[in-house]
Amino acid sequence: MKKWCVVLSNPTILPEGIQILSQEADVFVTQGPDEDSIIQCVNEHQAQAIFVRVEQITRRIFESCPSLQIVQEHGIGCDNIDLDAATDHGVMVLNIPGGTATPVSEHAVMMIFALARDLLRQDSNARQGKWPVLDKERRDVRQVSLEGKNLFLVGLGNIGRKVAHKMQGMGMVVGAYDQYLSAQQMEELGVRKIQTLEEGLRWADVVSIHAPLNDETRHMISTEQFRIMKDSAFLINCSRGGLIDEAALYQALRNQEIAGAGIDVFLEEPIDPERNPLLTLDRIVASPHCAGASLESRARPAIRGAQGILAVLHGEMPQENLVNRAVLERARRSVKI
Amino acid sequence: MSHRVLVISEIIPAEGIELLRSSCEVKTLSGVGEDALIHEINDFGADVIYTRSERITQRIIRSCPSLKIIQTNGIGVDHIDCDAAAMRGIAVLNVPDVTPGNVAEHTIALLLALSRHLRTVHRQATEGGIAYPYPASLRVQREIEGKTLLLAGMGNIGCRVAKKALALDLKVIAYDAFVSQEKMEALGVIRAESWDEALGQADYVSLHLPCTKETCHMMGARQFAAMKKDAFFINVSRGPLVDEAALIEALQNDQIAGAGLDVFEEEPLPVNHPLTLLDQVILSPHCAGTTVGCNIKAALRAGQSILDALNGKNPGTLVNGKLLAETGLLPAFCRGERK
Repeated sequence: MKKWCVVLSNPTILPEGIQILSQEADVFVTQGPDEDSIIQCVNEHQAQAIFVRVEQITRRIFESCPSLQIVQEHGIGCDNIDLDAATDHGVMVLNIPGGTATPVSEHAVMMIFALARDLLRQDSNARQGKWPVLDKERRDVRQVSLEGKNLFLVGLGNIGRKVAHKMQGMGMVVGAYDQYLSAQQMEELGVRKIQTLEEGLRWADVVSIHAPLNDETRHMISTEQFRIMKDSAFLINCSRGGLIDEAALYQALRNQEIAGAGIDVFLEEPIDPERNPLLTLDRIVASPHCAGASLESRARPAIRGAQGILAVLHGEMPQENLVNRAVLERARRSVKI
Repeated sequence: MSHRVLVISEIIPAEGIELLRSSCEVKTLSGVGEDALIHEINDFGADVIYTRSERITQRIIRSCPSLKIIQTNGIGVDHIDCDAAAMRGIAVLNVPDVTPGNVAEHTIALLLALSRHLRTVHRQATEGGIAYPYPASLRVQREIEGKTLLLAGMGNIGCRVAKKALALDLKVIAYDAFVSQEKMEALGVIRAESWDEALGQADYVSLHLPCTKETCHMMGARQFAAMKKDAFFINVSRGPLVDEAALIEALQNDQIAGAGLDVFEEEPLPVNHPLTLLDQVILSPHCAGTTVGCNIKAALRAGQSILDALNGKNPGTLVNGKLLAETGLLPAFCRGERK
């Protein structure tokens, strides 16, 4: 038996990470992704850490698992973890900041270009031998140029900054709404600070959301927000499904209150196309929550998550990967400061 | 007597034709063959023909002594025999400045869409059947940062593509015999000395050249074999730059990872053309230069070029100036100051 024990609540965490953990810890996988399976597995092995992906880590889990010291999230978003409960029980919640910033930002930029160049529809036209460019009236031409247009970023963290950098080079004017950054900090990034969400939505030709999902941001884009957006605007969401009111988005696209949307994340995942009318619209570019995926980043979260767990088990102070800073007051594991 | 302009494409917007009508006699026709066209030009006594992609052959040029100007509606002039025109002192004019930004954006769009497997992920989202965990195929999406783009041609479009690609943190290599090391360096681009050697270093290869005798089929079986297996190929310039049969074979045999194509040897693509059956390609119907309203802009620009030239002003859009200078038949308006 090794010194520590780590539980994986999801069997898809890659061997590259498990290998690192196994050098110093016994590793077990839960029977299923549900609350009871997680509690049972942690208690059976008296595990110090859980490595989670999208599984719900509830207050009951924290209450029922006194051995637990660390919850390591496999990505950035921790909306599946009850952070207050973790703090109350002295459990550190770690994430992998910036781990997927490159692929997510590239995916968001791809969606902007795919909408502007009408790529999916033109691909289908070409495959059918339809050459709309030969139509004198050009009724079927929708492509627009991005140069000189306004890009509004909601959230200017690691991902938002990368999107800003790329799109500035494409000749777009970039503005952002982010309460945590001053106008001067934004100016250094060449980004114009926009004071309110509403002001940005009115101004934008393209809106891209790069914010976490929490009680303040849930449904931040709904009927009223679509109403004030330009009818030529595109909306991109590669963050979390709940940020946008999907029913309102469906209506806005149908009524041509906006011109198109690029959506990687949905309220209900995995997506059931039968139940999501959004996916029937031809002004949508969709993907199945894969913006963070790439050949190069495939093993990155598994490796960095494993390293993050072991560092804390060794008593090291977590850095920007500690999500619930307040826990330091009462952490079950003491760390070297 | 006012000048006569014969417009031989049916898809030139009315705005351009109205502009010409303000001071010229204009006749429009479409879909006529070579013989009928020669007859029409001579019958009308046309000073100018305005074409989109309709071929203007040596025979037409030699048979129509009234012609002074051939105006095309875009950048490429591969459908016009520029040598024959120069021999007769006929100026060939294009529209160089309306579409390059659009073409560069389309190129970047294809590069991004290929890397992120746009068609596949969109289909997976809209058709469903994806259950967590995602199948391994999704993970083949590629990161772009730090990869290498090879450009053939650093003209108006190639330079714009390079600038945008650098913003994606790509390393850009370019092959263009007419652009100096200094100019490339100033653009942040590495100059390739040999096309074939550079092909093996690139993760993306994109063509931005006119189609001439020298560049026709510049990408053939040997060139595709020299590319990396996981590299993508992009062509938004002209179909005949590529040996299409060799490209199809390279794609079918996984010699390259995929292709983004806006132009083809035969357009529109025939039904069931092998390219239309491949999943790893993204196609578009020769619309890289197109945006809403750009055809009107192009027609107005072309109309203005014609009017300037007829009034002895240099429109700045002369394509065959070098050839005309060699034959000693440079028209007076070309010697004037550029507008």
